[in-house]
Amino acid sequence: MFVQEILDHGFRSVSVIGMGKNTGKTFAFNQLVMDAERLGIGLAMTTIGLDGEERDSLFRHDKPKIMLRPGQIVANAKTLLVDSGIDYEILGTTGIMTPLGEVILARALSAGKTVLAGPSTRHELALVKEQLEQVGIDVFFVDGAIDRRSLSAPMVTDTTVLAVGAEASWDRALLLEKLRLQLRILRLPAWEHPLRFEVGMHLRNMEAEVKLALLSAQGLQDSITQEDFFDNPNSIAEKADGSTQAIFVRGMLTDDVLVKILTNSTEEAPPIIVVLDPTSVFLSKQGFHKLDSYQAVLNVLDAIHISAVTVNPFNSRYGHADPLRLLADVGQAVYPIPAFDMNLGIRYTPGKEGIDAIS
Amino acid sequence: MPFLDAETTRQLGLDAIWARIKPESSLGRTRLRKIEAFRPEEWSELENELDRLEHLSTLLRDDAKKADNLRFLLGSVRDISGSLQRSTQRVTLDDMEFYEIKKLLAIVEKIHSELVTLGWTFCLDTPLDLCEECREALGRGQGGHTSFYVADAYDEKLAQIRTERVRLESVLATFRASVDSVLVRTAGRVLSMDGDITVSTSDQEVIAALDDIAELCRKQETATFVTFQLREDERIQDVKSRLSQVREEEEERKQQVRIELSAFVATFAPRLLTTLDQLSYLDVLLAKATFANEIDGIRPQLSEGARMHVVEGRHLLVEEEVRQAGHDYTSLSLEISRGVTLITGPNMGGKTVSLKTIGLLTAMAQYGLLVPARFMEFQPRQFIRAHLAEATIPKGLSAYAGEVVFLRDVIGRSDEAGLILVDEIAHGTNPVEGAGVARAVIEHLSQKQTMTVITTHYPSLARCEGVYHLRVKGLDPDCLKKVQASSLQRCMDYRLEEAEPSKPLRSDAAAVAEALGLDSTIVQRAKELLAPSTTEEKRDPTNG
Repeated sequence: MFVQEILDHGFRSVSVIGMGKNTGKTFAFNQLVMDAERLGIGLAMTTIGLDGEERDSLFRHDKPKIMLRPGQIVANAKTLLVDSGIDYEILGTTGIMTPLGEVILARALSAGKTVLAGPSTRHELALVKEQLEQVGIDVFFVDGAIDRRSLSAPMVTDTTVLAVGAEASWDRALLLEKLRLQLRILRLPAWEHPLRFEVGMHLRNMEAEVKLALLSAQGLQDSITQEDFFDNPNSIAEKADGSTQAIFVRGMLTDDVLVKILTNSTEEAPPIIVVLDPTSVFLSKQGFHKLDSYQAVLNVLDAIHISAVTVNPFNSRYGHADPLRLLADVGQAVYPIPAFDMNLGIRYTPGKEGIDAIS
Repeated sequence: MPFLDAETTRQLGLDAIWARIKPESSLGRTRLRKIEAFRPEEWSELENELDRLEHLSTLLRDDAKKADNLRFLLGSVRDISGSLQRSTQRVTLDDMEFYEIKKLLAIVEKIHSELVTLGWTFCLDTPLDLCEECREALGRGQGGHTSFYVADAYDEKLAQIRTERVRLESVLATFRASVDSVLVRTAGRVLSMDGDITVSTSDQEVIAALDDIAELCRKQETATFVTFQLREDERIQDVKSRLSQVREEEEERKQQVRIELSAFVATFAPRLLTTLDQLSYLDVLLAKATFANEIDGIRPQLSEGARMHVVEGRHLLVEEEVRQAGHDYTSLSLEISRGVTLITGPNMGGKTVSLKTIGLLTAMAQYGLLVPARFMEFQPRQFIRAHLAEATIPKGLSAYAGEVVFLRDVIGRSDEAGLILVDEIAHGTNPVEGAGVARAVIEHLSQKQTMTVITTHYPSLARCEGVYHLRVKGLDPDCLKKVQASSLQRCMDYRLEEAEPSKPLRSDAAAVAEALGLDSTIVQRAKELLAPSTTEEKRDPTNG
């Protein structure tokens, strides 16, 4: 049971995010929760409602339901909680408002299905997590969303499961290419520096006009404003010296920003580029090629941990792809991250021919 | 006429003062936004408020962290007045609302205990109402937890229905568990949330095993997978149907409990609303006391007579600005009474700041705040109105016309015990007519009940009968010789002193011109023209 592996690693909060619509995210979420339930652990769950899904939740259709069992705790919008027909105990209020009312913490006293609508920002999600920890739970599950902002969930949880589906692309090569790019962004390593926490705190609170910060072994060395960066990118070479170890990019890292940094840095050593977290990275495949060609390294202050990829062979236009083939292809592409088809209950096993079923 | 209008509040800087007083709860913040000044007729209430605030701020000064727990508790208070009011309109409250009321009552008890422990019960006129009966009703059958649910203890019938519901759910769970146990053996898995299981067509052995399970049937088949779902026999369908019915009955009974509980809560609504009011008062009082210590505030004394006496009063915003610029701040000391007080002095001499300080300190005192001064005694006012240099000019009017409109309005209430502050009276028109109008206004106001403070450059105004005249001490000539022109303000003595009627007005205009390097022959000629024998006639065309 995969949930057991997650717990064995010491993870106490798990988010499930999807690479697009119909990638089987909610199915995977429900399976994880069911598995956790069978282990008899105390669990809580919520969602981070965004974009299309936010509208779905507003009109309460299309959005898949999750199953609640007695004893499980949920952080859900008031209206959805009341309408669920589930018998519940109110544990707390959060002050976080959604279009469907305040997010309420409740313990289910009977089983039933409900649509979830939870906090919508990373900060709010962190507040909910904090409150739930006070209630006393073993694991916290977050049904993430499908767009870039869904990365708020992985930023708050210990580990993340990424749901991939044939819906993202029927063309296998293209699907795997998208997946590799997505995973490369999601798995950007944390910046290692003896003063990481102190410097990180400073970098997070930098003024809005700053675009770059030059970092040395002693910490913050110098900064470059947005205006200087775009009008006179040479300023990087002018301000950097032999002691410069890394360049922090405030805000979005796009292909354009990356090229400007790479082509204007000193040639003595390939730079380490640091961004806040994976949500700041907007690089294309070509962008990463450029990064690699300069032998530059991209790090984040807040890293995300991916513990599994789930595969859904369904495509709303073409039907079902061969699930075994798809799982094998995805499994190879994401190795060493474990890959599952939760619907078939199978797991890709590297080094073996074909697919082995799992319990 | 309200005690203060928005324009005067802004000009005095009182809005910035409010922004620094920070209650913990939304209730407190709302109360602060709607705060009203104490009127002269509320003398004893103001005395009580200031006594209480002074006492609390003294206790806090000894140990600022003493109130941390109280602050935390106050910060947890939510405004549930909407729910309480709805309950009185016979609206049925929902579980979240019951939870909030229950939680409030738990917080009220903690705050009450905290006040007793700290010895701060003096902060409230009456002790907090713990509403024990209401708290007991909202906690029935819930084991003393802070959470809320419609427990079995509320209704015997509900308890019976729940027992039946649990029994039926158990039948279904047992049925499903029996299938799951077979599936674990045959497929190593269990049913999904929707009660189905999908198997790859490559695993024909498992498919065959699942085909043999009587409780399963094929739901979907493709070239790559087969999905099985639970086959529910008549008994299971009956249980499901009955369960659905029982759940509806349970919901109906729960709603009935909510109706009854709402009616019960409604009987406590007035008491609970009073409690909310007390909590918001306490929150604001604590915030005011904290602020008082931040500004080193003192309790203003109330005076029976129509007078105001300030010793070392400070305008907080100006003081901060001056200190940030690296200069020393000169506080204000003065004693004024009913009628007109005139303040004269050179430009940049702090006349406007004096007006602002008088207005701000009076306003703060009358809103029940401690004031930034060493001593203050004042008679509460019916209103304060200011027309300072930064006054907003009404659309379509000139600066002078705007001032006339202001004067028209305040003169209309000059028989009341107000405080009128006018900066550079009638300076927006030509000096001859301006001085004439100003003199007429001063003559009128000096006979009235209201207290008026006016700054001016017109020397003739000081000679109006019954006018108390203060002047800024002004530039120190010896200092001027030593410092550079850019440091003129270092030579300015901003203190006010009573003007001697025999002495001519000083504007320090020639001294400033000289210090700034104006041609010496021009400065010399100016000094001749400003010589005492001719000054009054030359400078004030309205004289005589």
